[in-house]
Amino acid sequence: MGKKTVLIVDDDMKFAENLGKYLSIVGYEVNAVGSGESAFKLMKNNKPDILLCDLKLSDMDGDKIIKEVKEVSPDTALFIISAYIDPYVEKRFLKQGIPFIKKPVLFDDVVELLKKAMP
Amino acid sequence: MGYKEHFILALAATAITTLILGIFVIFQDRKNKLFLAFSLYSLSISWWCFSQIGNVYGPSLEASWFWARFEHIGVVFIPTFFLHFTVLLLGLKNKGMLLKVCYLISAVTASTFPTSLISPSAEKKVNGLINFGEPGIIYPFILIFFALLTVYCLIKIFTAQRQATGSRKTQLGILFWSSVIGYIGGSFNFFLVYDISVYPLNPFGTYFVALYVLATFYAIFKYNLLGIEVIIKKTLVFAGLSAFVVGVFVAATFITQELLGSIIGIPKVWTYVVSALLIAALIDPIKNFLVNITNKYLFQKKYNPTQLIKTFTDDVISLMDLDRLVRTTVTTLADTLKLESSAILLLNKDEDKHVLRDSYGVKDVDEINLSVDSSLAKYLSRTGEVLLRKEDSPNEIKEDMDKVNAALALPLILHKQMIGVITLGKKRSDQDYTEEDIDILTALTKAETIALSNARLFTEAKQNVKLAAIGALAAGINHEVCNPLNRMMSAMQIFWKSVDLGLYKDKSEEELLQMSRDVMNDAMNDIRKIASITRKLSDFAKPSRDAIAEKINIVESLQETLGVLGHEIKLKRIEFIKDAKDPLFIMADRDQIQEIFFNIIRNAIQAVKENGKISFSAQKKENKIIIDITDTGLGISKDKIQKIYDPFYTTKAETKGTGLGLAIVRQLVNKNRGDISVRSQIGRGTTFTLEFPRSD
Repeated sequence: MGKKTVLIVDDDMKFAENLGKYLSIVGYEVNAVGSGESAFKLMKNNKPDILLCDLKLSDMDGDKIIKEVKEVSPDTALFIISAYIDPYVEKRFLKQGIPFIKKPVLFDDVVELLKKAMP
Repeated sequence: MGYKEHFILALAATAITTLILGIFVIFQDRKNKLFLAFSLYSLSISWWCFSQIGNVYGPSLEASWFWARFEHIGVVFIPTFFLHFTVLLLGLKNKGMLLKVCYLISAVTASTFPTSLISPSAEKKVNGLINFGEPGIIYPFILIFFALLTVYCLIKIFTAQRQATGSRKTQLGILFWSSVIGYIGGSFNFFLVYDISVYPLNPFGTYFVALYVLATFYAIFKYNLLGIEVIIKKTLVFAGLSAFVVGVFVAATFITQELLGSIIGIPKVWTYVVSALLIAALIDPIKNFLVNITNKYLFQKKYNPTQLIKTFTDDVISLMDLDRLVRTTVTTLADTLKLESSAILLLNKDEDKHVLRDSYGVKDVDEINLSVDSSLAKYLSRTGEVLLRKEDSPNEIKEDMDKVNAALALPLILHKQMIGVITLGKKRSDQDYTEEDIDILTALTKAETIALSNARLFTEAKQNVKLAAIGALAAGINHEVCNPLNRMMSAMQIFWKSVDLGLYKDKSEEELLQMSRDVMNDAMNDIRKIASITRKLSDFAKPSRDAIAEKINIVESLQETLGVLGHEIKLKRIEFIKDAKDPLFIMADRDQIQEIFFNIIRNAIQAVKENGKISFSAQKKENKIIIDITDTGLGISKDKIQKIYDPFYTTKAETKGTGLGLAIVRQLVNKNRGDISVRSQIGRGTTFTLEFPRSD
């Protein structure tokens, strides 16, 4: 079946680029966007296999994104990458089965997580 | 004036004053036994004096003899009434029998007046200057009875005076000494019976009795001897007013009739009209004048209880700030009740002590605290009642109260727990706390307890708000620090991993060097960002130093600010309009005001496009200076305008602003006792309005 597709949504473009580059090296097909709107536009036509998303985007919060993605693309594996540390918030997402990756991120950890979720 | 005349004058003076005193006292309260006893005592002295005038004057020996016997009806009752008065005044117990016996003796003796037992005749005495009764058979007995009872009563009063405190002590002191002097002076009258005249005590000694009357009046008014709430104010005022009315009438009559009437003939009716007009016009002012005079000179300066309650509820109880609440409490109580000292102690649960929180007029402030285990604290906690320090209080309680300088202790009870105590020192007038005082203070302590509880809750609420703000801050910090770190790490990771995976095999050394330089440069920028944010945050979280207020001219402050920003303004070709009349003074911190102006104007510069306008106007308005800083920039939408002061709220691109500027500005404005507000319209622009109190 070809490469797994990853969509990174983070308003820190430099970071999104670098992570994207690494994930491509490792073998994923990567797209990176900086806002929720752009993400949904993309997802209309191409449902990604994996979504890596920040909680605090410039135009919307992570909760909204998660809800929308679940509706629009229920098969996509969801991961949160965020600087936000609130144990309650973390628990909330974990309860939904959404792993929470804390910034600053180590690329190898991300890759391991992705492999585990989607071997 | 001869001996006889002096004597009669002294007797008359005494007779009248004791009569007035006796009537006055009984009129205050007919049902009061103490008043009645004193009144009868006074009236019996009056009886004695009046009768003795007859005795001395005669005019015949026959008449003198009658008066001599009549006189002694009063005389034998004087000691008995004095005894009764003393028993009631001092609260002596088990004297019922003694009193009955004395009354019996007095009555029996008095009943012999028609006979010659008291006095068989009257003779000329003192070298014929006066008439006087001769001593009868039972006369020496009367003397002994009089002397014994009098001495007994005086001893009792003296002892009580020694043991008493405060105003009671003074009352009894006055009573004792004036009685002694009165008795000494008056007793020389008895010696006349034996034709013993000791000059000058005869005849002037009788004046001492009158003196005693005046002293008693003084004790009544000033030291509340019989607890009389004096209705005399009204009597005196009424008397004064009557005198005024009569005076006006007389004067008007005199002027119109005698003076003018001799020049022009004026019908009598005009006198009446003029008098009536004058009286009507002046009666109220005169009444107020009299009331004030009597209040000022005759009466214990009593505080107005309604005033105390009003002041307390208006000024004290509504305070939410704990420090101000305790401060105002102690000063209001001390001022209104005219106390030497007052203090408030609050429970420190950790140390199990009530610790001094604020005080007025108290020395050795550090020594003052009250252990929860002390007798006083236990008593107050158990009863929940106000405690007055009395001579017969238990010793430990007295000691505890002395340690905190307390004449009165008011426990503060909340939900059945004692959260503190208010201690009041002595009144400056040395008077005691009355029942009324205690009732009012009891009510006020209940209100105070609620106020304290509110202030505590308010402080906690503020803490919680602060904690919530800190929570928000912490989240913000994390974001502002983590993202740059993340960025750096991602750049480094991708570089090294690419190198390790051999992706840069074909790059030259120079190219690799340049790439690593880029990574490091980016990293350094990020590190600078983090350093700046942590600095700004420590500025914000541990906010700016306290404002050092001085009189500054805000027009000058604006100039300084423009000195820094002027270049940018020119660069963007922004029109800067200044509308402020130099000078405009406020009391504020110079640096902080500049920082405020700097932040707002810089925001304006960044909001405005090229060729836009920024205006700064400052006006005096009543006791404030109003400053408006307006820009013709993009404006802020209604839903965002609430957030502009939130820390980290910023619409600027990440590298351009931290979002702390306005949050800090608001803090600084508040520190300098000012206010900040904002109006904005999308597309039109924004105006920040600052208000500061004037200083000129």
